[in-house]
Amino acid sequence: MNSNQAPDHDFRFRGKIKDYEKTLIKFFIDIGKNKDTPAKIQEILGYLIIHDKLSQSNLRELTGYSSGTISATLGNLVELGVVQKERIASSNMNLYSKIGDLPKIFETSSEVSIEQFTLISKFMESKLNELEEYKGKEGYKILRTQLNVLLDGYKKVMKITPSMTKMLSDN
Amino acid sequence: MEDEEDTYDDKVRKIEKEIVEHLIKSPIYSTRNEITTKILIYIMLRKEITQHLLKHLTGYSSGKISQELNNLVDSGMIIRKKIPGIRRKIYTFESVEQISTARIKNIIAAMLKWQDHLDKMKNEMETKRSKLETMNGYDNIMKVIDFYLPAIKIYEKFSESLEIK
Repeated sequence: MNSNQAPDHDFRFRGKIKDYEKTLIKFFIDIGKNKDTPAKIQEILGYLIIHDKLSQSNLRELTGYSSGTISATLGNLVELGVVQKERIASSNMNLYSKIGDLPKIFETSSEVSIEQFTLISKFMESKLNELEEYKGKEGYKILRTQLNVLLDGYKKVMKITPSMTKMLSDN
Repeated sequence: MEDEEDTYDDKVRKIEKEIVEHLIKSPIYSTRNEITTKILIYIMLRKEITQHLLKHLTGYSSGKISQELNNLVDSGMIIRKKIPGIRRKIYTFESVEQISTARIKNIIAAMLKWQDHLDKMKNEMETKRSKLETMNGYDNIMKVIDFYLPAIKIYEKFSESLEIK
């Protein structure tokens, strides 16, 4: 399929295949519950994983969510770098897809995590400096200690993430 | 520990609030439920906190906070402690690594729960291949199952390595 043309597959599955699709969506939602990810995000990501590329109207029909909900959720996912959008040639419509091929999804998300943990750590370090102005004030000591605990913890978590990615890529 | 009111200095509390708001918007946390995330971040920043103080800091109702705290305790991410002489319980956490590890383990446990189901689905699709493979979407479904089934096994192995550590 040309990357910027409308999907050439019919996104409406039928019969037994539709049942399998519904089961996979339940699977994605259930996994999401344990990541504290709202069901609507998991549902939309699930359909993008199954179909590769979908438009907002395809997603509206598949999920039953309103245009506003679909648009806001996709906007958020694009901003986070989880989903990408591309313009369909000679139309005003966009197609949305999950970034990366399936096996690359975990690599991409771990790269994003490390990048984000680094950004968070920098922000926290700047807040630690700001906090020094209030040395001796009530709450100063606990917040300072906890920010250092979090900074140290993020460093350790950043070490775990690549080892999971390596296990996935080694298999 | 005084649990009836927040004794923090206003300026310190302002910095704390800015950190909470910043973390909630970060991609690390922003795809998660905002209420859970806000509660979890306050627990990490205060080290130990009562439900009463969480209500004061977040503005959420007691019922909502209670429900979220129960879920976080059940998932192994935070700890509920009873302090002698104080009627209210306090909520704390072991370490950032413990929170991340508990979260990863919960996701893997949920995936393992689905392993048999996905296995059966794959077997059924292969058994009835001649009838199903011409149907629209067969390859799409098979591609997803063929990715997740081996991935679940790898996650299981990873979960075991976390136990060892």
